[in-house]
Amino acid sequence: MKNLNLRKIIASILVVGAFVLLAIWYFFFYRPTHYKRDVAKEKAITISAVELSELYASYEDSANRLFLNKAVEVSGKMIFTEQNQEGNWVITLQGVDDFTGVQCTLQPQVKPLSDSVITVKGICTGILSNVIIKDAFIVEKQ
Amino acid sequence: MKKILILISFGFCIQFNLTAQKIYRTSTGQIKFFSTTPIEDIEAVNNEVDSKFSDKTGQITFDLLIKGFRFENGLMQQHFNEDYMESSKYPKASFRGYITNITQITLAKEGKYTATAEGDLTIHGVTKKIKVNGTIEKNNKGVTLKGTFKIQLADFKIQGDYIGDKIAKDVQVIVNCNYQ
Repeated sequence: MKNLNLRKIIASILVVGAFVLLAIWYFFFYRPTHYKRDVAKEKAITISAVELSELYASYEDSANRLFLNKAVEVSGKMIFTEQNQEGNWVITLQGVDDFTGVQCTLQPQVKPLSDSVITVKGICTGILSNVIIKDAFIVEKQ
Repeated sequence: MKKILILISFGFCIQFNLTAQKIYRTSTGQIKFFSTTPIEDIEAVNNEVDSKFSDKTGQITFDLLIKGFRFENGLMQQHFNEDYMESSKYPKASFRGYITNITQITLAKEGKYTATAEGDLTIHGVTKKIKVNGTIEKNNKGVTLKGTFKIQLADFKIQGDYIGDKIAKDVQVIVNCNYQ
């Protein structure tokens, strides 16, 4: 009887220990290296393409403090579309002037709509010739 | 006689200026980098590279945002930006230089040419002169520029715990840009 109880205790400890080791492996080794940011689940800053490009064109450092690496939901008139070397669609929205637009690289398999005014949600990475938004998708009208 | 010479000289000047230069541009250029060690291979790609070059002077520029690099491993991307590249402090990398053999390259018709670019590469707030060999190809889709070179991370004061261990001390950079 005593032997049976001891065996049960040892078995329980082994099972609990295995779960603990599995949890440690998952949270400290597997999950960090397989984490990918999902911008669809993030709360975004809502702004027009004209405003975003104007802020960046005039006050780049301040704009970076507000938007760099943040999720943004940008609305504007689509003025140009193309596909990049990986086959992803890239949309340019009209900005504050002809030299500064908002360039949005869409996620794989996402295609631009035929509408001229659209809303795009993605991650802002700063400004080059245009304000750059990556990992973007088109927000459907409600 | 003097008037004739002046007129002839003027004519030559007009002739050279009539062949206007074209500026080739892209805002969706691609730059990848590779780090290879026995422990781990690391690869990242940036598909929003802004580049322009002149077919007459050979002047060429590249600009990219560090946060535009995409890794398979999200944690690696985070460490790359926060610990190694300090991208909040140095958000961009750039190259300013010249294609030194542009006079040997004819983009008026289809063809593939070797190209050499020399200039200033700025990464992590540090500027170094580099020389890169590559190719320029004109086809029915446009102009494609490709090149490969290596950089030493220490040259650009890029430091971190795993450099020399999981991260190579020098990384390979691959440029692939399609211009219109």
